[in-house]
Order: sequence, then C-alpha cells, then structure tokens
Amino acid sequence: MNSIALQAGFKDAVTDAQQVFRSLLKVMSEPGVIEQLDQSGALETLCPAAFSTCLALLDSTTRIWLAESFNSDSVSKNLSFHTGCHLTRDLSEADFVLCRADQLPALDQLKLGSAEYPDRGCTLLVQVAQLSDMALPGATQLTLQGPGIPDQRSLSVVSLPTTLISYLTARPDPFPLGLDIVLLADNVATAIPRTTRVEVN
Amino acid sequence: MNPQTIREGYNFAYLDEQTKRMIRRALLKAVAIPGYQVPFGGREMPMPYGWGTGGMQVTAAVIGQNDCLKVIDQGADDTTNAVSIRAFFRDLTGVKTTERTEEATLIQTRHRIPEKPLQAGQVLVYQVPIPEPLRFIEPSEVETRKMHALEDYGVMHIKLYEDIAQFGHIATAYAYPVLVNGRYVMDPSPIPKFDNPKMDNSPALQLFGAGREKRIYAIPPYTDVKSLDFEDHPFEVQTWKQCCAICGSTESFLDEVIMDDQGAHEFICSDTDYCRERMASQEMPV
Ligand SMILES: [Zn+2]
Repeated sequence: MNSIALQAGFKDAVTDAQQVFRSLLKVMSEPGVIEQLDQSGALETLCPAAFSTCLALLDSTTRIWLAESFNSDSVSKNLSFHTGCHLTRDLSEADFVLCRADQLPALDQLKLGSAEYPDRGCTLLVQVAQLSDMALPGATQLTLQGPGIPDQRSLSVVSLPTTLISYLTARPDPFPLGLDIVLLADNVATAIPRTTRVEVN
Repeated sequence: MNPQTIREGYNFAYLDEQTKRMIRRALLKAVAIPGYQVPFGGREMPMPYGWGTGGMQVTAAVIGQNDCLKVIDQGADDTTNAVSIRAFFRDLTGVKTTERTEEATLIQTRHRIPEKPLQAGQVLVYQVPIPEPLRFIEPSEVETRKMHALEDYGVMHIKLYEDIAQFGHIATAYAYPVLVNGRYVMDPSPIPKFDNPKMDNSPALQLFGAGREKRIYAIPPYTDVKSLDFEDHPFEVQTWKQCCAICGSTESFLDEVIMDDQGAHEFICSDTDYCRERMASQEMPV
C-alpha cells in the first residue's frame, strides 16, 4: 500500500478560513474583481487559490466532483483529511465541481437547484492559467455587467475554455437558475455569478 | 487585535467553524441571487430572538481580525441592544469598535441605515425579524416560494393599493417592500422607508440575517433596489416640518421625543453619530 503524504493546510484554521471567505464574498458580490487568495500553498496541481477555496468552504456536509487531472489519490486524500468533504463521481449531486480549464465537464449535467430553491445549484470552481484586470496577450477579454458592477468591468482570462465562454454568453439557464463560477489562477481568484452579463471583446 | 481582550474558552466570534462555513456558503449564494432568501441551518446564539440573532450569526461568520465594528439600534450606538452586541463581539473577537460610520468596515444594524453615505468596502448587516415580504398574505412557505419563483407579486401591489384607497396615499412607513435587481421582492427589515433610497446602488455590501426563520439574503454593491409604487402614486419618503432640535439638520430621519410631563415634544436625529458630528463641526471655532 502506498502511503500518501499529507500536506499542510491553513496555518491558522480560523483566521485563514475567514480571510479566504471574505475574499470570496468580495469577488462573488463584485464580479470580475480579482482578490489575492494564498492562505495555503498548492496541493499537487491544485493552485494555492483553489486549495485555499476548498479548505475554506468544504466540509462533511458538502459533495465535490473533481476533474480527472485533480482526481489523484493525493488530492482526494488531502481534501478528505483537511475538510472531511465527500468526493462524488455523480456530477448531478455535486455542490462544488473543481476542474482545470481544459477538463470542463458537461455543464448541462451540473446541479441547478429549482425555481423555488435556486441556491441549491452547483458552484463551479475553474482553475485557469492567468487572470488580470488588464488585457493579457493571448487571453479572452471579457466585459462584465450586472449587480456588483458600476457600469462595466473588464476581465482578462488566459485559457478560458470555449464551452464556458459559450455558456456565459448564451446563459442557457434563465435567472434565478444558473451556475456561479469562481475562476482561480495561481494565488488569485475572481467570480462570475449567475447575474453577470458577459460579452467577449 | 489584542488577544488579551478575547474571552477564554470561546470560539472566535462565538460560532464553531462548521456553523460559520455553512453560513458562509449561504452568504455566497445570497449575493449570487440578490434579494432571494437562502435557508440556512442557524444555531442558537446566547441572546433571545428579537435581539438580532440572525444579524449576529451573519456578523459572526463574516467578521475578522482586521474589521472595525459599529453596532446601531434605531440609529443609536448607545441603546442596550447595540451596547450588548458590540461588547459581545469585542469580547469574542478582539476587533476594534467604533461609533463613527466612516471608520467602520462592518456595521450591524437594527431599524436604520446610517445617514452618512456608505462607502465601497463597507459591509452592512441587518437584523431581520420577518424575512418574507409575502407572509402577511400567505402563511405557507411552500406557497410564498412558489410566488417568488413565478414572480407572482400582484398581492403586494394590491396591499399597497388598499392603502391608497383607504388613506389616499401609501401608508406603509416601515419595512416598505423593494424590488431587487428587477427580480425579487424583498423585505428591507423594519427600516423607515426614508432609508429605502440608500439601498439603491449602494457601494456597500448589504447582508440580511433572520434568526428565528433562519434565512439569509443579500444585496451586492451597485445593485438596483426599487421601492414598489404606482405611476399615479410614486414612492415618497417621510419628511418633517421641524428640523433636529440638537443639530438643526433638515435632511436626517427624526425621532419625536417627549421633553417633559406637560407633553412638550421635540424632534431629534435618530442617527446619533451623524447628529454628534454635526454638532462638533458647528462648535469648532471659525
Ligand atoms: Zn441632529
């Protein structure tokens, strides 16, 4: 039997979790704003922002679906150890879906909740190559509008998958349904909740 | 933060980490669906309902070492309710507290929005007694959920219109219903309708916690919040013929106070910080 190395999580579980949450609250309520998120290190291929988000939000009452490249013994054991979360292979029951940009699952399989309980929809965590509020070379340049945004806000994402771009511009699930998306790159994060209208420049 | 001041043997901000996480996940969904009431598995707080346990749970899940906390009740920092809640969080977190609106990063409130315009980065937490604006007409949660899902808000307009038929104007003066982001009808908690316009496109984040019914809802910054009205009876805020007897303000929400047992009365600002600051600036030598 191979032993799996346990990695350090938060240094100060209470303070770090609170700070990560405040950053996530900031980006979810002000879409496209980029916040530093590096209260933990990386976990294998999970960037610090992705691992920190998992540590802050997951516990034994949540189910997470991991895309193939993240679904190693080491990642799953570490996530279980630190958070007690349940790993599921059933996309339709996952509260959180965590994937790399090039391994997006079929978005129409994700949990949406209902018109009466739209909060029961899945939160999609996508690890991308780079995020910036300035135009990055080779990036997808997005213009965001909606709640949390005075007028409009620019967001530049390297390696944003085309299926996600089409989802965001088409918004196939009419509000109040929809996916809330957190984009994570290295040690920063932003969010595009279901209320945000997205245009590709 | 001064760790010396934190009461020993308690969790930071009283709640255990699992409860905070659950409230935090609910808050993230609440800001993603502005005005929609997210159910959450609330915990008991060491204070009775009516003391703002919903607001306290939200504050406990949000507050961090770097925050500066202000607590107001009816606009005042010095009522028993405000003093108790402020002391509770100071003792269980060690954070700085303030009475000055502009110094606070986190403001917990009952029944008022500060007069001084809120700024980007500030978080306002409302204590909510009854989160469901349709409850007066429909006691069943299943039915009110359905009405929100279908945007079936006719009854709300009928209620306001009955006011007009009876009084010639919309008599609802507190907890005046609003439409958030053009979609959800929301109860702004029992603030005076005077404060409703402050919710619209505020740069601050507004969070609402109802303890007894265990509901959380939110208005992100820069979000449209419209008070319900009719074309021929547009929404109007309260006005006063008097000005504040202390600072002379004609722009603030005034409380009527009885001065003596002959029944003499005066009007003074309900926002004590606002009134005090106006007085201080008037006393300054020119
Ligand atoms: Zn005054």
